[in-house]
Amino acid sequence: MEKKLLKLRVNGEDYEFYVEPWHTLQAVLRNELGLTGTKKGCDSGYCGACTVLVDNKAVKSCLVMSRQVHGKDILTVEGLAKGEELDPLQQAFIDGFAVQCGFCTPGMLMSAKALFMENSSPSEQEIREALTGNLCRCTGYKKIVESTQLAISKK
Amino acid sequence: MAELQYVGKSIPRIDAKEKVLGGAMFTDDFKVPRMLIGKILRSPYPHARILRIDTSKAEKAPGVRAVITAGDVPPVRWSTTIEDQYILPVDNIVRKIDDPVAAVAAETLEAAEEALELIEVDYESLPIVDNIDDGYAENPPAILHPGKLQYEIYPPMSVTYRWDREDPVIKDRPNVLQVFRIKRGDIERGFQEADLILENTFETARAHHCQMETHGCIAWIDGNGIVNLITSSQTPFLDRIGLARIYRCSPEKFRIINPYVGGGFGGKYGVKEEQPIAIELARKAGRPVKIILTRRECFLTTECRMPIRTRLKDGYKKDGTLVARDVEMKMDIGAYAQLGAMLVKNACFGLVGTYNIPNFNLEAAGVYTNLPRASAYRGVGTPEVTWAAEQQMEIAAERLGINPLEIRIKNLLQKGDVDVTGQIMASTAAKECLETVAREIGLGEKISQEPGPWKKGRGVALGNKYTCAGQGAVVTVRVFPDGMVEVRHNACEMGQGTHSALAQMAAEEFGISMESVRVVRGDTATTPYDAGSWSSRSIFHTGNALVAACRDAKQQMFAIAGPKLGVPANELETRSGIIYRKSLPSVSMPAADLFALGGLIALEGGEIVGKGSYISPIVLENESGQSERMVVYYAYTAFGVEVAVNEETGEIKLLKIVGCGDMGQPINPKMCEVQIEGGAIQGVGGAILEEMKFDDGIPLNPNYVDYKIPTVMDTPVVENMNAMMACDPFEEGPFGAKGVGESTLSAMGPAIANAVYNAVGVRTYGLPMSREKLWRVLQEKKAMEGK
Repeated sequence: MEKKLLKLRVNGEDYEFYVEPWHTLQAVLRNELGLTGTKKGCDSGYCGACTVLVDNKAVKSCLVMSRQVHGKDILTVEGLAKGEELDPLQQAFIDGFAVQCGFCTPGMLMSAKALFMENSSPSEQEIREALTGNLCRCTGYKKIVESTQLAISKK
Repeated sequence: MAELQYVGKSIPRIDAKEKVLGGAMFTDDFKVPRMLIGKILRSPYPHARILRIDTSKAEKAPGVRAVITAGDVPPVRWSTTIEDQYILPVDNIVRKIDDPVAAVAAETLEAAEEALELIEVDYESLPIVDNIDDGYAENPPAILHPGKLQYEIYPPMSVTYRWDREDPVIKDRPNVLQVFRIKRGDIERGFQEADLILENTFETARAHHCQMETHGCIAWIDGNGIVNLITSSQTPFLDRIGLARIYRCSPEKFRIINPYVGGGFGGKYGVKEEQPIAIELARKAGRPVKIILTRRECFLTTECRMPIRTRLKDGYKKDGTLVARDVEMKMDIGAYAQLGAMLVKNACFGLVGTYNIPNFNLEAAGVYTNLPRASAYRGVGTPEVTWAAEQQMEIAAERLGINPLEIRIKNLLQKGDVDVTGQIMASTAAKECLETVAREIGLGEKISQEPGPWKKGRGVALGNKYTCAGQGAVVTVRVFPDGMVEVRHNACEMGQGTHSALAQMAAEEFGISMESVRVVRGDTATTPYDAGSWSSRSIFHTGNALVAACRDAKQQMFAIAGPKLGVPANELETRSGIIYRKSLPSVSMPAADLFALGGLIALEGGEIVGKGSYISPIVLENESGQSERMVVYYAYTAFGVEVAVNEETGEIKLLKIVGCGDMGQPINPKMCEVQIEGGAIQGVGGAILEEMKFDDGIPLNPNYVDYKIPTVMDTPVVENMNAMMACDPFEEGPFGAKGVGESTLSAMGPAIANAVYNAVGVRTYGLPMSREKLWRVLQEKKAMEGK
């Protein structure tokens, strides 16, 4: 099979390169673009560590063939901050002690970000549902949920 | 004493910003020039002899740069305890599913995967041992290690590790690797004194840490012949020593870089299977090789939680005093020893570290099976035995008509008491922890039940975890002219937060802001020795070394400043980068004046670098296995839980969790809270969801579809999840700190089991309390009541 052209806008910047058809969005982000903030935890769509936004919707990038998102707008954890200014979610995760090993953190932030794009003031239940697809083994989730709640007031 | 400014305060972690930016580097995030991807060919059989391997087609496949088999690796058995495992099958035997057989390094992952399929292997399938009873039998269906008695003990362990090859249980039972016994008092007389004798058998399951980051490494050999490794490990220096043993060379031949680790929980201790494989691929290819394990490989080929069957016979007086305990434990180590052989003994500490038991008898046996290696997972046997002990005591309480809180408190070891193994109790706030959770959960209060199948119940349990003694840590602290300090250490940072807590302690010691402290870690070439992060040891050992290093640095500062100020060095102090006379602070100078040449060089010694080390004192066991100090301390966490159980389906919901921990002085209270919360939920997983399942040695669920770990939906709402602390500062710890990582899990299983019993009147006795298991027990109860 020959490589195919892939055009993506990632974190506001346009990229063009050739990929194998079977390369996932996760693989392209990490290996082609060196955006290693998006993590690989299970490579089977379950753990959520690879969560990114495609056209403002949270997706598990290990389940998306990169060519499926040809021409689309991708947001990764590296695109959350604006220069020196952290996204309110990022600041809230720091202040709220939502970060331990940090491996689930990018995926959690992206799922929360997608939620905020649809619902700027979610309830605790809505936050929990939005984060269902993101596993964390360290924190027990409480401070992640609380930090997301904290971010609402910081916006 | 002046109030502490940084220690004891919930200061945001110094690594949190990096992690929320997505810039924190983990092993798989690194790329090295000309790096190849390595993949391991693994056995499809749980037990087999390899008759033939032909790698010729793989060697010619596109993109392949190296293929290795057993002939390419050091032909030595290795382990962290009893050396019984080959890197690749030198003896042509595979003993577990996914046992490494050969390996390939190629330009891309796809090329490596395709090359694996071209390796031809003929196997002769052998009978298997896949349960504890066959493992313990005198005439088992298969013998995994016929040469077991000739195995050697891993030399660094040989001082503290006892292995009696002449023991009849080890000699007569071919798959029994290790036994451990304790005898204290007179067990027969103890049972005679008892008013109530209870005997129950409890079982736990094989479970996995499911660290978010899988294991892996990048290996290359540089121009000086030094093996370089970037690796996700809790123990870079111990890995180095272990590799040096495998290669029969000096540890200095290995340089190990240890970036952030995405979760360890005990599963990343010591040399890992894929490390020497990556090294040999790198050697053969002449290029760096990266091997990152898949989730399946993580489940099956890294060390997991050990299934333990505990037959517990207790004798209680009618006032609840525990007078006698007789324990028989059988443990499923899996195919190779690793830390499992150590766990045979260490699991027992969970039974002896909380309560006073005058008459005690224990025999534990660890057996080989053709299943994944089982050993250290957060608690290292303590949760497994606490599952038994904390339920048995509740059963006794009910039978004797005693409050479950009261029966525990009555039997608690007090500070200074001597436990069953001779250990002197160093520090405990266990009573306060128990009382707190019982009060907060409303233990014993009437619960209003709703109509329908859901029944609510409450329960408590107390768990402990020791920290091993006899290990060391070294820390250096450099002082800069502007008053900044740079700490260098090698505790692991896998989320537990030691890295950040050290910054708080350094800020406290020097009286400077957190922003003035830099903490550097993770490279054996440039950062000092540490035994690593396991056994909940880092805040204590590395913290003590840090405090010593800070004081050493300050002594150097005062030795220079004293003559300049005309003040004896011991009358000086420092704060905010100023050195001043304690009794007259206006007599002072800035740190910059300790240096010459515009700050390039210190006036004495060239640089100001404090060095501190700490090795926890240990007393080795005597002939009767007694020692007053095999562990440094016990930390405690009690849990109180409220559950709802569906009588028709066996489903368990966690409505409320309260945890109260004693970790000595918390260096950062919020970080301790999240350890309690995290331990609680990891404990929920082990209690009701998690079990690695096998059918004739074939794994059924090495993935997240069929092996479920808790999601946020499995947790109580935030207001119903509370972590608290009741601490007994430990005078030997830095600022009074003990450890916290593991005690925060031990009691969750039995707390939930006790709550379930309170709700629906049954116990499963086996872990996990899956819906099916609980449903069956509920059906049995219904049938009995119908009679």
